[in-house]
Amino acid sequence: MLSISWRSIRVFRFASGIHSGDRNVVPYDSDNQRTSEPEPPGDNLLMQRVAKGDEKALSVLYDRYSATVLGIALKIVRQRELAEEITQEAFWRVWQRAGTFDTSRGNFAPWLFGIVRNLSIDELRRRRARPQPVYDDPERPWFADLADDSADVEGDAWLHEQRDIVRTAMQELSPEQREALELAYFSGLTQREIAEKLGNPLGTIKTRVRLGLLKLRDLLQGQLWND
Amino acid sequence: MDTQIQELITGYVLGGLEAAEAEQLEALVARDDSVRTEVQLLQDQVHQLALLATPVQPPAVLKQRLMARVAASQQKQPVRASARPTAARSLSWAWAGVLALVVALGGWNVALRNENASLRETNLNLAQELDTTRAVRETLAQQVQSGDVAVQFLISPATTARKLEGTQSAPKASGTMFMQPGNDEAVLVVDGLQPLPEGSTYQFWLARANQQPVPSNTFKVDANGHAYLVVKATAQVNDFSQVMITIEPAAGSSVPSDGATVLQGSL
Repeated sequence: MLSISWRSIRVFRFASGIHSGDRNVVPYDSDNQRTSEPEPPGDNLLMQRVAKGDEKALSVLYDRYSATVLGIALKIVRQRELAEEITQEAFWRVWQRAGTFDTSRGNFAPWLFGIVRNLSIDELRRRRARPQPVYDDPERPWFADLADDSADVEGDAWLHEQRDIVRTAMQELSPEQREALELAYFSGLTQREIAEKLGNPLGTIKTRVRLGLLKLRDLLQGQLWND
Repeated sequence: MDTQIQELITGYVLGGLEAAEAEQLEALVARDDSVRTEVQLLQDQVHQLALLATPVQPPAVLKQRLMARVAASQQKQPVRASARPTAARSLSWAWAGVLALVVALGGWNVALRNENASLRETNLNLAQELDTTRAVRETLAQQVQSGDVAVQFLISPATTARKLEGTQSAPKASGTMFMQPGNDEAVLVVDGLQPLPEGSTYQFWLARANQQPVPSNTFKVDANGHAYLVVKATAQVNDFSQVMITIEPAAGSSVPSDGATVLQGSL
């Protein structure tokens, strides 16, 4: 079973409230330094401000999520310069599309991550027309060395907590399920392509993805931004 | 829920279905509320996987570029949204109507001469306001043009950035100059400069090694100490080795005033 300490859960829930809830309007100064007020503004509240053209609100969201966004893009496209362009484009789209973001239908983080993933995978598929050797090297599968790509950065405490929760939950899945899920999310490959790459029947991959994702949902029920 | 449908849903939210499978799932979503609900729930949830990526700190210039692009879009927005020009156009028609009315009144009734004179005066005032509005529109149009140049600059892969550091006179000031090889224009973004009193202005300068600085644009900063502008040099920007910003009299100067430098940087 997934084991997360009560202390960890309490810390997470407090932090989660800060980011996904919008209880308070808390000021922040022109340098985006949080003031002596106890709680920074939540993501959804910041998005409401961004939708009204508040550049500082975008700046706060950027400071909060840019390292995570660059990490996602880099893990997908595996090229630093390109990943930085995608990061900038993702936040530009946040700025442009803030008015379409509906806080009643979801939270900011998965919305943002969806934008980054789509941009990255679109780019990956464009580049796949000109195959990259790294994807075809059986001695060095690209997903195996991702952790060595860059140094871990001490980011936002809330995101750090969320990341730990997801990683802990992933350890509860079988290695095969983990591999299938990571490939499905980060490779831009269809399930059929994943099956071919791993040399498994398509049905096996579909089962691993289904069981893995549903088990992850059960493990994280009530713990991440959806709840 | 049926295992096969569940597999379609999980494959769909991960973007891993073949085209025919995706169409099959979309048809199911259209006619089955439980499938639609399950897809919606999993669509957010699937992005929990994004947190498996190791965070990587982006370089500072990335944020500067983004915020400069945002600032440029803010400059463009009022005109692009056409709120003010539309209002101005409406007013133009209104004033034209008033003018016609004044002329008509003056011609057909002597008893209305006094009122007519009054309306003429009103008309003159309106005409002056119209001139003012036209001047504002000209300024806005120039800002749009400037914003377009800035956006094109910032999104170009050929653009490189150079930092400007605040001097002792303005230690909190910072700036970034975005430039392209072979181009005589550059985009300058500054922050942390004090708004200046009437009679003074900031002025941008470029200098070649061991030569007198060449004067360029004058500008003001907003209440937050922020400004962005498209600067034009007398030659390709990369012909110069130094840039600086000084405080000068409102009309600008031909040589920089002593001790007036607030930002400087090397190209």
